[in-house]
Amino acid sequence: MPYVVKKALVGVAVVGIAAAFMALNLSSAAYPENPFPTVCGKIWHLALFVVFWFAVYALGRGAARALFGRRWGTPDLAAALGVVAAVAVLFALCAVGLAYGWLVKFLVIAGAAAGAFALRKELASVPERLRRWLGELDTTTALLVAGAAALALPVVLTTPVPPFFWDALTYHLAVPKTYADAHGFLYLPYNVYASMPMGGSLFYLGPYLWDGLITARASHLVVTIIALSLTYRLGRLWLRQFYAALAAVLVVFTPPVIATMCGAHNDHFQMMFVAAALNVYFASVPEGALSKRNWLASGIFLGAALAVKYAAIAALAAFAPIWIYDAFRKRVRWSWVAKTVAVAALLVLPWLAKAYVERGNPVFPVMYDRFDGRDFTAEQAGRLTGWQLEMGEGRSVKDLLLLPYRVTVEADVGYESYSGVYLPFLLPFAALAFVLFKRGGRLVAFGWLYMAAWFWGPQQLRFLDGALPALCVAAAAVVGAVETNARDWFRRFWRLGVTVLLFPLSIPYFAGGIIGFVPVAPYLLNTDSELFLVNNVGFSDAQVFINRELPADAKILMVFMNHTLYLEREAVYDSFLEASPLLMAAEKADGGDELYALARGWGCTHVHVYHAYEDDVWPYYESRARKNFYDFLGRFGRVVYKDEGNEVLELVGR
Amino acid sequence: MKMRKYIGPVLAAGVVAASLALNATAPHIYRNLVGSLLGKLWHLLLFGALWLAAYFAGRALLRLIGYRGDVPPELSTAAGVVLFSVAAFALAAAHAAYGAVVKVAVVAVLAAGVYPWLKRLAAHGGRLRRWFAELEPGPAAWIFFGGVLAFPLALAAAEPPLYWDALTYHLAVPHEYAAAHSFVYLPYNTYSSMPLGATMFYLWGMLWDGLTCANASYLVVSLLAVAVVYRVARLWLPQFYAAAASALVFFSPVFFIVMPGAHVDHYAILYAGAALYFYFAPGGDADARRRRWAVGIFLGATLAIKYTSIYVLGAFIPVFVYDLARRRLRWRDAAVILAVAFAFVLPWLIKAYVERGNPVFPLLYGVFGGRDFSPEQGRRLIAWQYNIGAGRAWYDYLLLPYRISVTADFDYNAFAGVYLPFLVPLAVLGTFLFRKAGRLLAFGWAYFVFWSLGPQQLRFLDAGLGVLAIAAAGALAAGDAAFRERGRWAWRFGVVAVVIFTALAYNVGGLMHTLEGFDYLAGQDREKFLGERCGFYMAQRFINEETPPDAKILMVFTNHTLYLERDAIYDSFFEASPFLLAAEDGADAAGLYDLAREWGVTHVHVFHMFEEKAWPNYAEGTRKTFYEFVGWYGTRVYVDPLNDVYELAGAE
Repeated sequence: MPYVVKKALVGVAVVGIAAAFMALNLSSAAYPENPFPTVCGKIWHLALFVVFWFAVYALGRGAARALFGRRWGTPDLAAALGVVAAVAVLFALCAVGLAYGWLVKFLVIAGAAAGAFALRKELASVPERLRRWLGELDTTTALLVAGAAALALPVVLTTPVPPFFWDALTYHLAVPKTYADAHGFLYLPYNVYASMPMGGSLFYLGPYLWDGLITARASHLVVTIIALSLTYRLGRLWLRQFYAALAAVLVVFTPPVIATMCGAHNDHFQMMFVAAALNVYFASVPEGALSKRNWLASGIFLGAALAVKYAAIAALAAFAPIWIYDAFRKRVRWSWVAKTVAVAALLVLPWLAKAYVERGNPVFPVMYDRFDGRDFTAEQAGRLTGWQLEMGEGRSVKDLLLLPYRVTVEADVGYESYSGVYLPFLLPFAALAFVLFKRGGRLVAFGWLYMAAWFWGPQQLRFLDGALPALCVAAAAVVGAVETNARDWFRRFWRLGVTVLLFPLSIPYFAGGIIGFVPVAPYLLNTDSELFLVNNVGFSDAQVFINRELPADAKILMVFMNHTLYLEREAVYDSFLEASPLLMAAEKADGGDELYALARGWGCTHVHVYHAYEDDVWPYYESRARKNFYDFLGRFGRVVYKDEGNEVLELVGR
Repeated sequence: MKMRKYIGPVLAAGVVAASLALNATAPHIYRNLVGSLLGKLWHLLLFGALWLAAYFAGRALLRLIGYRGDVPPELSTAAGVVLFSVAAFALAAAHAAYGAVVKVAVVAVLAAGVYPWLKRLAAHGGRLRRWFAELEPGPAAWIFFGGVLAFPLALAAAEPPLYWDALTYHLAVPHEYAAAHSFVYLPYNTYSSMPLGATMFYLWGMLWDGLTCANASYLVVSLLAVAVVYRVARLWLPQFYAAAASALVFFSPVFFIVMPGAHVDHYAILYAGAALYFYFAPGGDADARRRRWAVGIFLGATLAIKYTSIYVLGAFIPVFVYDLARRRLRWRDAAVILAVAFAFVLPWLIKAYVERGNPVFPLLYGVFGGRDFSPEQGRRLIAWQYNIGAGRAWYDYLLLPYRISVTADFDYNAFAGVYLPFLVPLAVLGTFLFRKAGRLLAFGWAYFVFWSLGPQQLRFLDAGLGVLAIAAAGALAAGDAAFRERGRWAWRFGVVAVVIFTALAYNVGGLMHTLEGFDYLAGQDREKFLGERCGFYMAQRFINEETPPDAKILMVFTNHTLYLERDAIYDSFFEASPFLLAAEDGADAAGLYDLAREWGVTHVHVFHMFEEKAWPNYAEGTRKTFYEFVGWYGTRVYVDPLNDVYELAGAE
């Protein structure tokens, strides 16, 4: 037998035997709890997920090549640019009514195939680059990163289950899903968020049309990873490998970051884009010349950040003083600053136009007294602003000065105390950076300016995510400052000590968030979405009832809830439970009749009352509102479904 | 100026301390976790110190027999574990098993070893860096993925022990010895009179820093075992495939899932692997003296773990004979190996003889007899052991590789464990394709044959698992040789991906289960943790708190004495309960009551969880008689869905 044939037979035998026994094991009834089929299903979706993200990356590479030339950028920057480009494509598709699944699938496959061909050399060099990267990775950094990855794993593992976070069910996924059903933008009069900039949320439309809700939800995790990589890269502009990695780990160990990374939010989009903008800006400015391609890129990423949510305006406010300073120091030209701002504005403009078309107010619902806004009232606007500014601990100058102390010491999960906590040493270290990290002074200033700008808006810590890369690099730099001029042995011990101590000092602050995901774990081996939702989402049973039992043309008045993602009926709901038109009317009404007339006027046939948050909501309304509301339900509603937390009532006239 | 360099560290430490202190005094939902985790950190440091001491002690032992710093650290540590286990035996025999003695011993070892170790620290660091630089992407992926996947298990190892065997003997017996500061005769615990070489290390760990320290040791032993498999495989295979062998062991569910609980089987992989390493590692005649001692020590340590370790000796015999015939091994060396090995087992045989009058209790009961045991119990015990597995007809033996791969499960009638499905078939193929390691593979298959003749629990095959995995990796390496450069890269990528994929598929269920224990690590009360996870714990807590200190408990369908603080009578094997056998033999309820009173029983604890599996082992009517006994003569003083505790009439 020829030698080659013999060798080939060996290969075939090894593969064949392994495959045969895997298959036999799979088909065996002896191991009924074998999770293999479920895992195989998950792996299939994982493969689709990888293809989607490769297409996004390829799109980013293509855009980078077209705008900045072949050699520009790193993989994480390209991926971030890919997200920007994907949002642009999706916006265009929605605007012309072409948001079809088949079209997105075609675009993803075409993008992935074209990318695989165009990037074949880059792909072929991945093992070599990986080897080189591993070779350059110092041991302590590897320990730090591996430890952080291990701690984040429980959260990552809980990603492939149906979305269940409030914001996702209300708008981050609910709105794109509505667009997907309508194959384009759709005016949603009851959803205030739908008329705001939502560059992050619109991105979810892509993975949703490609492979469904879970794939969309899991995309936030990739965005987080890109943001972490960009934080590392930002740190590397000034710091050694270990401290740059430490900065990224500090970001992911920030409790609001680790707790939300597997849910479909938009804050990490903001963090990713801001980190990308900082990267391209600071990568060239230290050399004294902001290149054309980098001001353009900086503008694109800044604009993408601004298009994520209004709160991202803090990034612009933080950048402005840096530009001015650099312009005075002749590091950048004024014209380039202007162009950067213009490019950023260009990316926000379509969202303003959309808001104007939908509501007649380009910055809806902000500046309501100036621009007004369809299907919204001055009182709603007033209550909305009041509620947003209620978050946090005040807005006087004294409050501003006390802010770092309060966030460090008094932060908690309630809205009144920043709605989240930071690692207690993060801000003190970031403050010390002004003294111990002078080389990165402008970056440190950016972080603190961002925080100062954030202070004037709703003080939710999540909204501050855009500042985290800068603050964490600053904090890591302070930790690294200790080893300046130190001997080798001290450096090694210091880094090992930092690695060892970081975990016990951080884990208590985010462990609660991780533990919160544990009940989700058993559903990883279960493909029954409905079962999962019924067990994890308080109103799911009621919505299952509505979807199955009520007529297709029923219109639901949702009270104390606005989670429409899984609802398959038309609905009227309140974007902010604190500014509900129904309950505001109840404040002024003389009885249930007026509310009944109002509900009928909206075309509602049923009312779904979700009691879980009821007691939190009533204090925002005068006491008579409650009385009138229940008078309305009692006189005009017939209970057709009831469970511990829900009631569904059919509206019946008297 | 000199002071300036201290400003940074002092400032940083001050800021950390101040912010943590301020934060901890705030009315903050997370603050209670800080104290809990810092406490755990202290125990973690003590745990690390114990293992560092084991490493130092092992190095000293190997130095004593002639090795000079050229032994891989995992093997040195394994030698340290052997040494500490022997020391624990000596302390228990000398009535000196006190925490203070062990603490002084460990601190002394640390003090003696730390200075030379620190002097070589730079060299260690250099070796680590070199190792890291030479690490190929495939093994790096396995290490990273394995580390991430095993992390929840590592956390689970720090929880109070929950596994059956640990609660019954691996930790329960050393716990008794620690309380008595010496060996104590436990008439109702058959296991306690068998060789317990590995369990002695738990005694050492327990005396050093308590139960959790002892329990968590198994995780480290498991990791050492995987490292030793790699080390043995490296004698024949390149890095990638040696790592593949380790990965196949590590990710096999029967190995992976039990890591957080105190068992003994992974000691067998570690010790047998070490013996194989020292036996097969290249070396000239000058090496023979130290080698025979090292092989003898580890072979002896293996044999002292449990009776089924005798298979290791049986598997070594053909290798010895072949090497003797080929003049690779001298008769004298073989004799020294066996003599040293026997020296490790002898104390256990003496202990069994002293306790039971049978040096191999409860085996050969027909020949030697045995105190507090009966021929019927002996018969039932053997019958039960041989019931485990998948049949004893000639074709059952031939079908074993197929069945282990395809129909294995965690039930006793299906090997009570699962391997990755392609491990054994590839090992079979490797026997033909990987001939250069022929003697090693002969050892592996000989072990497999011996195992198949005994109780066919997959865990008992562990000492051979490493060799089977090496054979499978040999087959994969033969596949590798069929490709050129790019094809080879793709092949290896495929191997990495398939191993990781199957690891996930076969372990994710067990892994998810361990995640539930996070509550405890985040500060959940120990009692609540055990109450939620140990079906019988609340009943035992009731017994500990509510019954008189001199109460004597008859435990029925439970033999988990670790957390029980009363004298107790229990069955080592539910299939051979002397109490229920009395009922089967015709005793009525009154007869059972008389027997219980004769034994001094004041309370009966019935744990119902495994009741339905246990009753079929007894004659019809036994159940009725038993419940008549507790119904007529007992007053129920505690009840929950899984437990009843009765106070017997006449008990004070």
